[in-house]
Amino acid sequence: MSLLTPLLQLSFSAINDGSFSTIPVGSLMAITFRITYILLSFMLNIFAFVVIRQVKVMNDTVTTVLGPILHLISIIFFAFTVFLSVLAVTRL
Amino acid sequence: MPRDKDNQEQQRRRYTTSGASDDVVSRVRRNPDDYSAVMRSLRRSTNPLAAFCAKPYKTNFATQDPEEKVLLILRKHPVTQVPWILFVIVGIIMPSFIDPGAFLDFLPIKLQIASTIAWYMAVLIFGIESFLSWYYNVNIITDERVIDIDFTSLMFRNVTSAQLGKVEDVTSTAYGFMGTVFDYGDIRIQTAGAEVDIVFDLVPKPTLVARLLNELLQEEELEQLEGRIA
Repeated sequence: MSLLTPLLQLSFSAINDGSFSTIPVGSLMAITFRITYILLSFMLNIFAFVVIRQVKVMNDTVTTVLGPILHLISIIFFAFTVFLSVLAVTRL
Repeated sequence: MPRDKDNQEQQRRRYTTSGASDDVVSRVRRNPDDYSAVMRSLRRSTNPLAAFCAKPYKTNFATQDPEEKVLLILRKHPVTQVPWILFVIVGIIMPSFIDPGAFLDFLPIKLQIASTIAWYMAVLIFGIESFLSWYYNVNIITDERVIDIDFTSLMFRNVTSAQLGKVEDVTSTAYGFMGTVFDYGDIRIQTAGAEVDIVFDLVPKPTLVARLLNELLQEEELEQLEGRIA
């Protein structure tokens, strides 16, 4: 909501006073970028989760020396993506 | 090798103590080093990232029988992975040479930083996906069968296996400039009946692998003729 509010405010005020064409392109782009980054960060979480699942399944299929290490790396990667998502929502 | 001899001896004892006849005693699977010149020439591989991994250390698979031995694990030759490795390296160093601020100067500084992070994450995702696709896309040769595990992307996995007794023909093909220079190529294993053929793509030393497979097939035929393995 905190992100959508400025976008909605900007749109409504522009429609009300008829100055839609005078909205600075930079601010619109910035809001678009923010929303895009937040969506991307959530997609990244899904990707990282899929990686964890697949590494686990493949480790069950073929057990190798490196398997547990790859599993650990995938979990760290997932934690990192969650951290990035939190940053994107709270700081952007 | 002494441990293998111990295992064979244990098997012999198990058969004899259970009251079986001498014919049953002779039904012991031979050590691949005893009948395969290729296996004798190969040393045990300890490198977990090797593309040609003979007698691999601590490696097994889901459907492995307790007495089945993994002889060879093959992955695509490292040379075939150079394009994505180069792409990742270029992706990592590119922001150092090209100023991202020149393209994104209309954005606040926070979003410029976020854009740089997004770029590195995209490169990281590509690298992880490519590495996992290479690492888990393995071909396994045991003393009983051949297994082809295809893991071409995170969303696709296919496991095909064939008993050595059902293998009819083994063809090795090395092609192209790089294939000839770095000695890698394809191995096609044709199986009997309507079963699908197994193809090992771009594996190292295809001629040696084909030779090993032929030795294993000969031993399999011998086992069936002598009735050593039921």
